[in-house]
Amino acid sequence: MSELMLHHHVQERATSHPDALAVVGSCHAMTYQMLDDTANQMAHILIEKGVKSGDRVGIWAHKSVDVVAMMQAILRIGAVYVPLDPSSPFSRMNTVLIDCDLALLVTTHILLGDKTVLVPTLFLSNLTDRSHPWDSFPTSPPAVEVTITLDTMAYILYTSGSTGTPKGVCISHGNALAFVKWAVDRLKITSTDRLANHAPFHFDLSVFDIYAAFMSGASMHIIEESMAYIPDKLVAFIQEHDITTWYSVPSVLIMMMIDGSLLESDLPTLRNLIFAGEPFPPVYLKTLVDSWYPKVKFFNFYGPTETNVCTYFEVTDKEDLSTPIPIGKICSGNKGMISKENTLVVSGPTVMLGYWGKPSQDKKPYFTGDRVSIRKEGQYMYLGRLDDMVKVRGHRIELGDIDAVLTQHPKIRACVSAVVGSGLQARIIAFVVGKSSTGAPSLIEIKQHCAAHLPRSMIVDKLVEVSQIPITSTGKYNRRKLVEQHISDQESHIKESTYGIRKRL
Amino acid sequence: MELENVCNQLKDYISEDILEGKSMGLTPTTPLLEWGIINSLEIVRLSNFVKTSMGVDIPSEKLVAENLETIETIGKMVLDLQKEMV
Repeated sequence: MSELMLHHHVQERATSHPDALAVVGSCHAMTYQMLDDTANQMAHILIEKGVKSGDRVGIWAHKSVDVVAMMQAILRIGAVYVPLDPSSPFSRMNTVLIDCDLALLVTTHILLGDKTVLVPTLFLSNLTDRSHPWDSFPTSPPAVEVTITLDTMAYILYTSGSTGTPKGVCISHGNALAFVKWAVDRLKITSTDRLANHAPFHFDLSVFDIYAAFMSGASMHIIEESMAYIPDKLVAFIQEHDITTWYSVPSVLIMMMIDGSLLESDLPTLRNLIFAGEPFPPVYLKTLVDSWYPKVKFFNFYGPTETNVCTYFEVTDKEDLSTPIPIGKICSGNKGMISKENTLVVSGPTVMLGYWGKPSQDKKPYFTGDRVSIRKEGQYMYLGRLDDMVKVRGHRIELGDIDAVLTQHPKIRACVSAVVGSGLQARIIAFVVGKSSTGAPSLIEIKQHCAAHLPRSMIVDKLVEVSQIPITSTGKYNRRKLVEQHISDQESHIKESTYGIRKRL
Repeated sequence: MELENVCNQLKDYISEDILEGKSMGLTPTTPLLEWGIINSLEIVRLSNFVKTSMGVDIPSEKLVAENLETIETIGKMVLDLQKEMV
């Protein structure tokens, strides 16, 4: 039998287990049969809208069961889906829309409002009632001949770029499948599992939630954006949905511990807890492991969007949890190497096809830019970045992207941004030299400007006005010196008390 | 409590605790979520502030974007919840 692609698993389950639960949203759920039927109906309307194999289709919408079905529909006709951050401003979405030359934008009336885009649109529901534009289309598969192989592009995930333009990471069916197969096998995900989906769809953590569920015939349970940071609701969600497998950034789990009574709650079904995107502060991880291991297994996943998950570490009670844990061993069929600069280099089946509009990666090794060391048994330890890329609560941020936007502000002569603190305390600080004619903008003005051009996670938290920006010996802006000069060592400690360490663990 | 009074308390809290005093231009109708003035993590802190300083417990189902849009919408929600308590 030929290899199953990302969309075949749903079709296969719809035949073998039509009534099994596939995807659950806040007000709507679908069995595998319903998901398969809806994806077929959507595929017909995509074809009617002129979408062809290889075309890019943007999805700018809040998470829902219909969005998941739409991804399946897009893959079925050999096209490529591009999930776009629904909390990003229109201008950022429009930049991506133009960059990857979308053939169609799938969106909602609420998000698009009265704005117009230069490509055809498809709305997820009709304005006048709750019906869908695809309701009248047949549930049989569309009669299109498309050849989809492991090397066919499946989706593009946009991440922050260093020069103010987002970069599109192109992932093939084979890239995603190599990781998902490994993960399903390693975590022993089966049809009885229930996977929570916390991450937004434009964030690569969601790839596991969606496809590990569909590959195993399990169900995925969507946590809508509005409750994603309400700790007690998240804990209640695990209980109400009998979640077995949870995957999120550590910050969210820490919030649930501090403000959601996670440790005091009875979660009988939970058996896998996976985290990724940023280091887990050891003190919190230790508390979780001490409380729940071995009933719950703990996994640290690591990998930039460009490689999917390429290393992992299973945390047990034997690990010394007074220090940071490793990112672990290479996985998903990849090979790891350490470069001359001591950064991790990854080659193998999960390494992306390339960046959209740039030369192909051509299956060459990917240089992550993450500095690592290696300890016993091939376990990698993460040490830091080689460049200016930072993480704020799992979101990858190129500081140059923020600088490029801020420098366009009419009251700013020069600007450098930096991130201080980590995890829940991470804050983006802008060091700004104002124009002499206007003076520097206020913090509120800066936030307003960021909000018009950048995703929510990249809006500046703090403003420091400076008279000039120091230069390094190589002629670059000296971020480190600015932070040393203007941000006291105590600052991050003061900030620690502002989010919740006040409460007992 | 009057709406104006509640809004002033909320504004003071946001100015001091979140914006560290840099609140020039902050008004009752400034978009808080859209401009990243309160981010997703600060929603819980804000709700704790309302509980301790105004004695109003905001149920988590009320912590949705439409109620948190501006100081004014938060203020109206707090007053509505207070009326329900009486």
